[in-house]
Amino acid sequence: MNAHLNEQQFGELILGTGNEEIARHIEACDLCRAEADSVRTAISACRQLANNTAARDEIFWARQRLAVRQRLARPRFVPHVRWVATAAMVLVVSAAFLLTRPQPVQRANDDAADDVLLQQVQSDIERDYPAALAPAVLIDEERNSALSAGAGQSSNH
Amino acid sequence: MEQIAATEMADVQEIAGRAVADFGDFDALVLAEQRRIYRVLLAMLRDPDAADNLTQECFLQAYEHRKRFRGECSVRTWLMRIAINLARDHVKSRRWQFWRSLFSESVGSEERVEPADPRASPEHSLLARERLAHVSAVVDSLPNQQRAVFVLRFLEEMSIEEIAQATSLRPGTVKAHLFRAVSAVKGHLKERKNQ
Repeated sequence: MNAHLNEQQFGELILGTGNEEIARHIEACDLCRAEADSVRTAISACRQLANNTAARDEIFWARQRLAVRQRLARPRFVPHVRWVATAAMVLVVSAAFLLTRPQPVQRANDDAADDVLLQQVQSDIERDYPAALAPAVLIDEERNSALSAGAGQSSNH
Repeated sequence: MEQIAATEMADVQEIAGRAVADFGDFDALVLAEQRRIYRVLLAMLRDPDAADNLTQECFLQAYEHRKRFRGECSVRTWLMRIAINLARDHVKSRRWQFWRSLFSESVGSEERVEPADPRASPEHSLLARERLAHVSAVVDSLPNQQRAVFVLRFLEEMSIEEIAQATSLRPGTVKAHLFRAVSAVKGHLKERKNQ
C-alpha cells in the first residue's frame, strides 16, 4: 500500500477492526502512525473529560433516584392529556365537517324542483302545439264544432 | 463513579435482568445505570439540567414500558436506546434551543473539569487543554447521529452491534458515522498542527 490510509481504513484502524494490510501500512508509515496516535490521544482525553464533566457527588445521585421513585409514584397525566387533546381535535373536525356540508333537506327540495321542471318540459314536448297558441286552438275547435252543428241542421232541412 | 466502575458487567446484567423480571428491584437498576445514562445524555446535550431530567424520564419510560422488553438486546442497551430517543426528541424540540445554547456556554466555561497531567509543564498543560477544548468542540459540532455513535463507541466503549441496537441503525451505518466522526477529529487535529 503506497498511498496513505483513506477515511474508511483510518476509521477501521481507530475502531480496532483494521486488517493486516492496514497494520502493515501503519508499521511502515510514520505520518499515518502519528495521526492515529494523535486521534487516539484526543479520544482518550475526550473520554476523560466526559467522565469528569458528568462526575457528581453521591447526594446528586441519591436525589435523582428519589426523584425517579417520586415520579413513578405519581400518576402520569401526559398520555391522558394527549388522548384527550386528540379526541377533542377529532370532535372539532367532525363538527366542522357536519356543519359545513350541504343539508340533506335542501338537497331533497332541489331534487323535487328538478322533477317538476322535467315534468313540465316533458309535457311541453308532448303537446301538438305551443302553450302560447292554446287559446287560439280552443277558439278554432269551438268554431269547428259550431260549423259542424250548423251543417247538420241544414242537411236535416 | 468508582463504585460503578468496579461493578462487573455480569453483575450489572444480572441486576438489570432481575429488575426487569421483577420490577420490585427497579431501584437496583437505577442505581446501576443512572451514572452511565446521565453521562451519555450530558455528552450529547451539553445541558446538565436536561441530562438530569431525561435520565429520570429514561427510567420512568423503562418502567412503564417494561412489558415491551422482549430480551432481544441487553437491558443496558435497551435503556440506552430509550435515552438516545429522548435526547433526539429533546434536540428536535425547538423550545429548548435557546436554553440549551445558554447552558452549553455555562458547561464550557464553568463545569468542565479538564484533565491535566500534574507532571507536565504549565506550557504543555495549557497546550493540551487548548487541544482538548478544540477536539471537544469538534465532537460537539458533529451532526446528532454522528455524535451519538461517537459518544457510545469512544466514551462508553459499546460495540458496533450494541450501538446499532441502541440507535436502531444498521451496523454498517454505525460504522460509516464513526468513520466520518473520526475523520472530522483527525482533520481538525491536522488543522491545529498546521496553525
